[in-house]
Amino acid sequence: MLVRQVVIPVSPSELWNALTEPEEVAAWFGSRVEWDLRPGGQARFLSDDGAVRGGVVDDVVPQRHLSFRWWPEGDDGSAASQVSYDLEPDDDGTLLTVTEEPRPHEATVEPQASLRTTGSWTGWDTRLLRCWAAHMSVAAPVAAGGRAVR
Amino acid sequence: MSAPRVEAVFAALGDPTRRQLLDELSRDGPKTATELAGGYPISRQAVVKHLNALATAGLLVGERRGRDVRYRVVATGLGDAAAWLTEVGDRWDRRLTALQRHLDPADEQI
Repeated sequence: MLVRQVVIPVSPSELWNALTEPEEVAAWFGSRVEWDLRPGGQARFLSDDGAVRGGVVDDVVPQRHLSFRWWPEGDDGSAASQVSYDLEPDDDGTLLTVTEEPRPHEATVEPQASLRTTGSWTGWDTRLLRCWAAHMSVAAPVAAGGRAVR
Repeated sequence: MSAPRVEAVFAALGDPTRRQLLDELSRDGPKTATELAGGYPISRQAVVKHLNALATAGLLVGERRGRDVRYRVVATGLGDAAAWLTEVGDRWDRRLTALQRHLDPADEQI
């Protein structure tokens, strides 16, 4: 699972608008988005470079949490991943936590139930992968411009 | 890159015992389940189960020598997961930098 955290110097409600209103999303996301913002709602992402992704909205808790799954258009579901936004008020604005993890469509790809665990493993990834894949560089946990929070 | 495969790697690594086993094998080189089991507060049977889960995800291979199976780390499984994290992470770094700029255009640091 990929995790990024940044503090954005605006209120949760302003940040929520920037994350969800299509005309706002177009200003920073790299894709235009069309979505029906409720659980099960359809989504479509039109990338600035012409690529199209399909998607579905999973959870919506206004100003606090949004998750959706997305995949390259025409994919059989195996390349899908799930993105979550979590917003928490912070002294300097709003702490935004973004996660993305591979999440093939349940309809087309059997989840590997035997391997699933409930244990949290956030945080192990960078250390572990550096250790074993020393030749690859694993990106730093915070976006440029954001304040480091972990 | 195959998302199910990356997902299987992440799922397999979600368990602390499996991470410890991989750590040990990557540090010490190939070992049998019996050699490994001594260092864990769980049965040899349970260790074998974890080793099989890691092998299914493509992170280990078991090599039979006589009556023993020695488990060896396969680096490519981790490499795929690392590549996925790097690629997807780079995209989010770009997006979040742009989001910060969009919401706080006065911030000259970015």
